[in-house]
Amino acid sequence: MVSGSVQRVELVGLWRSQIAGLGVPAVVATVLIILLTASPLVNLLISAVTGGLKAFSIVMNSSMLSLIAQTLLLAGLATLWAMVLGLPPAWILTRTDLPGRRLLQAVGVLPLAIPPYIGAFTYITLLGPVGWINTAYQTMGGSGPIVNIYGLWGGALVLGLFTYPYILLMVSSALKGSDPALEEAARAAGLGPVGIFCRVTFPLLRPSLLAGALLVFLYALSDFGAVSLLRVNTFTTEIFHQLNTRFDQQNAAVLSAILVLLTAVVLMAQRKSLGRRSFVQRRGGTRPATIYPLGRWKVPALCCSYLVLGGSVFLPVALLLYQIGSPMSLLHTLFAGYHYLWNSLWTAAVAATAASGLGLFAAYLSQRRKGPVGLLLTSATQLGYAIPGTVLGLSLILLYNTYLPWVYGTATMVILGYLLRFLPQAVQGSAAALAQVNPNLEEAARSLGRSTWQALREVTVPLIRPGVAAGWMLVFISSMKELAATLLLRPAGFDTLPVRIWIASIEVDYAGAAATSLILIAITALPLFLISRLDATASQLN
Amino acid sequence: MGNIAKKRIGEIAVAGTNIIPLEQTSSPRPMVIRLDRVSKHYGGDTIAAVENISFSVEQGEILVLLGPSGCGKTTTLRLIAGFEAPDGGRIEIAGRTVACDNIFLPPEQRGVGMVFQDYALFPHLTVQENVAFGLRHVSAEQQRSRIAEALDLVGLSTLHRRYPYELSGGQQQRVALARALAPSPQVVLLDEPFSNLDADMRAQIREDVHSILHQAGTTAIFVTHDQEEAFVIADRVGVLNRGCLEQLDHPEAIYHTPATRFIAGFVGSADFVPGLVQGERITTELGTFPNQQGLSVGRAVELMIRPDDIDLVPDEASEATVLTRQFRGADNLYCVRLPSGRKIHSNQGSTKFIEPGTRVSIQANPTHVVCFDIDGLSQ
Amino acid sequence: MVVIEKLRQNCCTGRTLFLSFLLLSAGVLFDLRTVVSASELVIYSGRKESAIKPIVELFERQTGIKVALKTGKTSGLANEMLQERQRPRADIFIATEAGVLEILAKEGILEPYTSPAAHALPAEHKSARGLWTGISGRARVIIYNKNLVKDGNIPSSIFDLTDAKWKGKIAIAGTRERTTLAWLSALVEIMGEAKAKSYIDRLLENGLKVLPDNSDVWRGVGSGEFAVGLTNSPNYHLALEAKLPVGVVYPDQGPKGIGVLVNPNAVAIVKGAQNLDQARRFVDFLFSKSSQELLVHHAFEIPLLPGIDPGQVRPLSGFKILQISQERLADLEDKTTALFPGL
Repeated sequence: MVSGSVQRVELVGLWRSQIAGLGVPAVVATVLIILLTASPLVNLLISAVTGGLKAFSIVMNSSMLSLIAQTLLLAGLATLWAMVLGLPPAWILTRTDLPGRRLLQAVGVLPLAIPPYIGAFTYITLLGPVGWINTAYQTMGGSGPIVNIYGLWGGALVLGLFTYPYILLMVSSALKGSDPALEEAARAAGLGPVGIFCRVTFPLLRPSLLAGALLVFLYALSDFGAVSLLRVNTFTTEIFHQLNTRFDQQNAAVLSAILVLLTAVVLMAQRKSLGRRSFVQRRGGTRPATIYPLGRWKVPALCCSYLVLGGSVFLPVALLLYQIGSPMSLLHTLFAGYHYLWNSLWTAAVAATAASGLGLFAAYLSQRRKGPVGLLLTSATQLGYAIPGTVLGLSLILLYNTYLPWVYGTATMVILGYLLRFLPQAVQGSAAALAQVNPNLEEAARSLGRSTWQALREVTVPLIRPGVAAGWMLVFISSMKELAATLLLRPAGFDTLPVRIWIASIEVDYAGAAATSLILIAITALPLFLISRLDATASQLN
Repeated sequence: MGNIAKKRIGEIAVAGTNIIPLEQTSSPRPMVIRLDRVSKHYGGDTIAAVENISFSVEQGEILVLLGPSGCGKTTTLRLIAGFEAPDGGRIEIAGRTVACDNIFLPPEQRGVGMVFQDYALFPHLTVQENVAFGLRHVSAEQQRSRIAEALDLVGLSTLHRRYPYELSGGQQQRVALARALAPSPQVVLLDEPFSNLDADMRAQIREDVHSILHQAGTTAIFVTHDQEEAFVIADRVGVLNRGCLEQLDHPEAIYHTPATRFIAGFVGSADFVPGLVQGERITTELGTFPNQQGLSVGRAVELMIRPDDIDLVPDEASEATVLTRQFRGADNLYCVRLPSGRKIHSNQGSTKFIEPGTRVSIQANPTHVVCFDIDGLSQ
Repeated sequence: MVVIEKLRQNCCTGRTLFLSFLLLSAGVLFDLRTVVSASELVIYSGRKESAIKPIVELFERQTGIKVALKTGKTSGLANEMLQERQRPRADIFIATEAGVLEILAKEGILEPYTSPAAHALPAEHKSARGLWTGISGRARVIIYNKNLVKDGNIPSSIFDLTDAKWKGKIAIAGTRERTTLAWLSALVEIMGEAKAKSYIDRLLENGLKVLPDNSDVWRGVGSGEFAVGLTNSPNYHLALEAKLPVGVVYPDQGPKGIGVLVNPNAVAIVKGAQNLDQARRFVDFLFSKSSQELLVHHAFEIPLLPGIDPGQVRPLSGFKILQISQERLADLEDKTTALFPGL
């Protein structure tokens, strides 16, 4: 044949292999997704770089180094604290005979229903300079505050306390799925439980521990609400400050660019540490792991577990309940602010639905069609992890105000913020679900006469529904709790629950903040609990 | 028995397209599959998964593609099924070109049934729904009868309401087969279908599948790396090595007259003894053998010797000694050291014991004399 | 695989999908509603919600005009308004001090309007070009904790605070609070750069604690965490309302004293506002008796209009005021920011 037509066939072959059977809508969707996710960041970086000398004078400032140091230190301390809080319970709950451990496992995710900024202000009421502890101490005759939650240490404490479930979950998962043969071999060699843990279990856990730790680190880097309430000066608070005091956004853009760089480095480290295992695969068919009897350690272990849970769930909720005063004021807040609740609900739901759809598409392309397109798409959707809420808000404002002004100032901006920030969670949920589905199933369907789309619809979709649903709920919960980007993106009169909590905290209306917080927690706790039950059932049956 | 078989011969139903009538002839049977110089490369011309393969399969025939892992047999199967597109060559199914330079028919339009190594049953559907999956294009009435036939054929009629996870491995495999057969495809492709089964079940299931396919009169192409399996099921065997089809022949021919040294070693055990062609005879240290292949004088060749070609007789005068004895239940496998230092193997009866270290004389009686060039090519 | 079974039986996903579709369409409709209703008056307020909301609600009740309120930091909102200048979203901007409005006026994004109701306002509390109008005032005072500061010790001047006896016991809100920024600019104007800088430096050496917000300051003083705080007059009354043991002093009142700075909360209409008429009505409303009384009695602000009953609040006539024009404060802003990075 003539070389031209051979070349054409080769090109067609490549195209075919990438998007075979999916056609034009797939191409359009791909382009759209990449544009949507990459454009804000690109625009931000351009703004930062074109800032000129004035902008870079901030970078050269000596206070910049101390800002970087402070931010990294905060994140590091928070991560360490989260590991201390998350690792022992993970081992106790999966490897010992602690009574009630199944319940504790299910409840273990609940701290994630409490956003750190709510945790922050409840701990301020307890441990702040005018908090309960200090007031009680002063009533008893002491002078001056003995404990002050404001500052770096307080920030690390609170952040770690409300993010340790990430570590708990990842490590528990790894422990449940690991092969007991190794530990049994160690036992045969004469090691006791501690020895086994140090020499065998811990090295096996290292990957998931690292993955969870990096997740916490990333979270701490990008947190805004808690650190600003606790008066820690980090990048996010500084960016917010710049946006609120100066009449140009150049400085904020430069700071944002640096923060994104820091976050990107951490993110790449995390990806590398996970390698191909970005989700834990359950190994069916292995024997259950050894359970160590606790004996006289039962009580301390119980205390430890309940203490951790207490500090991160029971105590804050109790404090909130106390702050409200009476159930009437809770109802009153609900009535007065039902449209804030509605705003939160519908924007989160729309964002979750859009994210699930796009996420499924991206996950499918990257899993089933290995190639440059899939890779590009996955990287684009992962950008949300690397961009803290404040930065995302800023970049969306910069982009849409300049190029798409009719979108700017509507609630769509808020939805976009949620979508871009939490798309990675949806992608991950779908990817995990897809990975469990045998690719041969789709081929079997095709050999039996279905087109690619039909095979997807009739075979793949029913099987991944639980995973996609879990992803939807994750995005929903995250969007409900989101504060930093919403603060920047919301149009006038359009407040969400987190924004109300924030405003109330700032204006020291702790009772109002408490009421709204309880409503928010109640709404996010339910899907969270559902997801954990779904997960537990799946793992039990495997 | 039954309607599927009749339909097989009387007409060919291709999913989604019109029915093509076929004339009833006893022989020669029509070609169902034809591959003509098919190639497939990966990594842009650097790795040839399949290189210039040509063969054809008659209707009702069972062809087995045999070879080690990575030889391209699965790729060939996927090319026929339509999950991969060839880089060169032509593929025809029932006389219709499905893949060529500018033509590519997607899998759903090829009328090819496939049974996967891990069965790939749809876990969210019952057995009945699984089997019905490919029957969307027929009426509900016909669906019911075809499903019943298919399940009957594989012997699982009572299990139609079960879900795949409730079945044993062997049962799942039979459902997979029924599902592939139900739409009366042109050909059924099976990718190492028995490798996931326990060894003790394998033989029985193999038998069953073989008879099912024969009963249905279906054309089938198997892919396997197990030589014994290939010989048992196949009408013809095609041996692939590194993407090339080295020999396509009846199992007996493959075993007794392998075309390449690779095949000789892969299919059954073989030892190679150097020899020299001297006119009508080939001289080796095991004796002389007739020059059956008409090789030119003076050629240096290697003679293929199988363990069952060698007989051992204890003989103090000989210089060959028995090195080891392996009792294998049905026979004894001896490793013998020849005076030249070369080792060969011999199969002896189950009760024939020869102590290691005993000197033996060797009687070589190969049924076929097969010689290879030093390159490994048969002459 | 039993999970698949169970989920099939539950069939919750179909319902979930339907529910989300419902939410989606409802949300889209609602969003259209917020976009389409251009009849809503959009107010950006740097003044706290607790202070401004009662006024807004009263306005809504009296006129029936719906208001969309967005509260935040004054500078941030001003920033946003500059961003949005091509397509202004806000109709009204309420700032915590007038310097920022002078800056915005210079950028040309304000719409001139002189409310007839504000006719009687003294000239220093409104823009010469009618671009902004002062609503009510707040004085820069010193509040102290009565338990920690006994009668003989009460500081009478802000310069007293550099004394060692106040070490580590003074609080102030940082320059994120525009009233602090204005106060610093006033100091620079009155004392000159060098003297102002050395004063502040000495304060910082004396352990001046810089807090994010004025509410942190009065709560800190009220709880005894700090002995004195430099803040705005309404916060004294708020502390009293919270039953905290605080006292107030209007410093530097002597014949040679510099006086007390008064920051007016000011309102301006945005150029290109969608609802110009309603914006004007709102500005008029701000100077009505009911609104002014709310500000004075509820938010403890100093009335700038004559004829309003000050109640507990010390009126303008009750103390010596630091004389400086808002334009001047606006001009000094950049220099002040550069001079006091620590605040």
